[in-house]
Amino acid sequence: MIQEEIREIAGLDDDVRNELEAFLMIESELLDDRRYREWLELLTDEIRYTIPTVEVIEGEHEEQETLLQDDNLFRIKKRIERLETGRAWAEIPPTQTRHLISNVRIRSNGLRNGYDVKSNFLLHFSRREEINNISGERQDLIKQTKNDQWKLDKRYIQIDQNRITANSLSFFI
Amino acid sequence: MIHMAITPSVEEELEDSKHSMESGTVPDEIFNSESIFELEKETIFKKSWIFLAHESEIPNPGDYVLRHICDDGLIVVRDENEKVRVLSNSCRHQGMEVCRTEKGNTTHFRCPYHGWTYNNSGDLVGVPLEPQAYGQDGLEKEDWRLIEAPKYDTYKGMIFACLTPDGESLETFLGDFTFYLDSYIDRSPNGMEVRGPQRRIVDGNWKLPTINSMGDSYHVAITHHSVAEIGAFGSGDDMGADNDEGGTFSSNQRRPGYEVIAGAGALTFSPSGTAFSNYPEVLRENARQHFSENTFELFFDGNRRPTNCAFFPNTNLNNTSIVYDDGKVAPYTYLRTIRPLGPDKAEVLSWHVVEKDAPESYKERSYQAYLFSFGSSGIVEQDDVENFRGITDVVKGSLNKDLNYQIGMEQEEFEEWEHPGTARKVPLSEANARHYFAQYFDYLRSHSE
Repeated sequence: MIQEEIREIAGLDDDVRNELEAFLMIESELLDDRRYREWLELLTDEIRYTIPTVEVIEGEHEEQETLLQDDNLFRIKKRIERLETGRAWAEIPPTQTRHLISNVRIRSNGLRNGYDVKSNFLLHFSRREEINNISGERQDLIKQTKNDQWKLDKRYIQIDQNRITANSLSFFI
Repeated sequence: MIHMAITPSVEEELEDSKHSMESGTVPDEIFNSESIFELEKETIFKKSWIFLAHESEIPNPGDYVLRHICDDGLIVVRDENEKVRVLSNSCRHQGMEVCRTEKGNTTHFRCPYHGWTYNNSGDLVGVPLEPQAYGQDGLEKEDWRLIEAPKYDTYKGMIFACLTPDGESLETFLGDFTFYLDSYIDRSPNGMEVRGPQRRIVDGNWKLPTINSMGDSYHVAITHHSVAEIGAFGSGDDMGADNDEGGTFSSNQRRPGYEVIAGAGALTFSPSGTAFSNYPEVLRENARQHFSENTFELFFDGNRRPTNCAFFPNTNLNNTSIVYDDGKVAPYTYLRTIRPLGPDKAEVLSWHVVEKDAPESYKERSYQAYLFSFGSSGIVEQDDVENFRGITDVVKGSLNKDLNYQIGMEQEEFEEWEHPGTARKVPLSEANARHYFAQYFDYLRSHSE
């Protein structure tokens, strides 16, 4: 089964792979350059952006996932609006982010023009004298719209921290 | 015994039992000092009741969570007899952690070092190679149970522990504050549950969030200006975003709320009406069954309802609401506790609190509203954290000064307050913060006892 997965990933149409990787590169550039309005254009109206906590649980202990963030388009827009007020003190001065994206694994997900795109990220960030980073995996659903535009429809972010070392997640991972 | 130097201003504060209440000031070094932190650990965290977990986190026998009082690792577990226990997470043999997972379910805790095994009540039940190690008579296992926290108790589902065996009971410690605490964690005959915790590090002094939550109505319009400006505080009763000309505060700041002090805690009955906005009718009915008529009216029907609160030394709750989607406001309750890791660093645990039998759709939107406002990605809490971080950073310096908590020193009590504790009917006050400091310095002074 794993050998088939390897072949599936390797055998993906070159154009699709190139375009999706370019999508991720450009998206990161927009976020790191704080061009949030342009980044918004890359999201579908049904976007869901979710970050669960990491929970290592022993034995049979059932419970709902605890989340760190669970945004729809409205909430993402409001976050951007808030940054634009010039009074979002936690981001004045703004956090410098650097998204490093790698290990991109693209699979067709059964939808005609949708792809499950997993990638690893290392988000290095700095604000004033603080330097920090978070690594993790993004599980994206990227769709091609009617006019051949790629858009992010879903992002589920598994971060590699049990206890978050950032004072606040005041930026987009 | 204090071995490290305390500055003269703190020494004076410690000697004078009424200093900060009468002057309305506190020395700034209490927010970033190694020596004061040591004193806090020896007094406050040794003697006070500390909130650890909510019973809904460990509903079934064998369920546990791993929590701390400062450096003391504690297993909060529901044993096979359904009794909640708080056990020191250290093997009686040679000290190794017997529990290394943040949460789970187990019948037994096994030490990975020499295999000593305890049941989930903390009894030592298994010792490998016992005859070879301890002879034919073996080891007197009753003498080697896991150490239990000297005191632990539960109030309405909130599990607390205390590292000192004597002293007051939990209910005595909380005192009259329990009346108000019920509006956050006991609103329904069918009980409440928490979702969480989120855990994160904040580079700030552990006391700052609690002092803020206890009754800082003054900061809202400025610290959370950006949230008001984007219309997230809701229509009508908004906190108000001042225009660029500066000038006066929003209309809410001019309208008096009730600042209430009771027992170990204090809270604000805010005139902004954010508590229980759009609260589902079915939950209102639950609450109506659950509280006396007067109390129900006080918490739910007044135009001033219990919003932010805190109790000594490090736990806060809030009933509030936010616009979480286009034209949609949802209320939420959160619970937050702050564990100090040092004078300038703390671990914050944050939970959402909700009625167990609330409709699923309500639980979901209330949870989304909470995530959007508080916690790691909360747009409200972010700007508070920036203040906590900044204060802690600068007061580490040597240009020490007194901090001003003087608002409302001349305020009179609101005589018509019919409920527990004392109230002030005022737009602004720092009396609640002074109530925190009164308890705080009492505990620090107790080091010489």
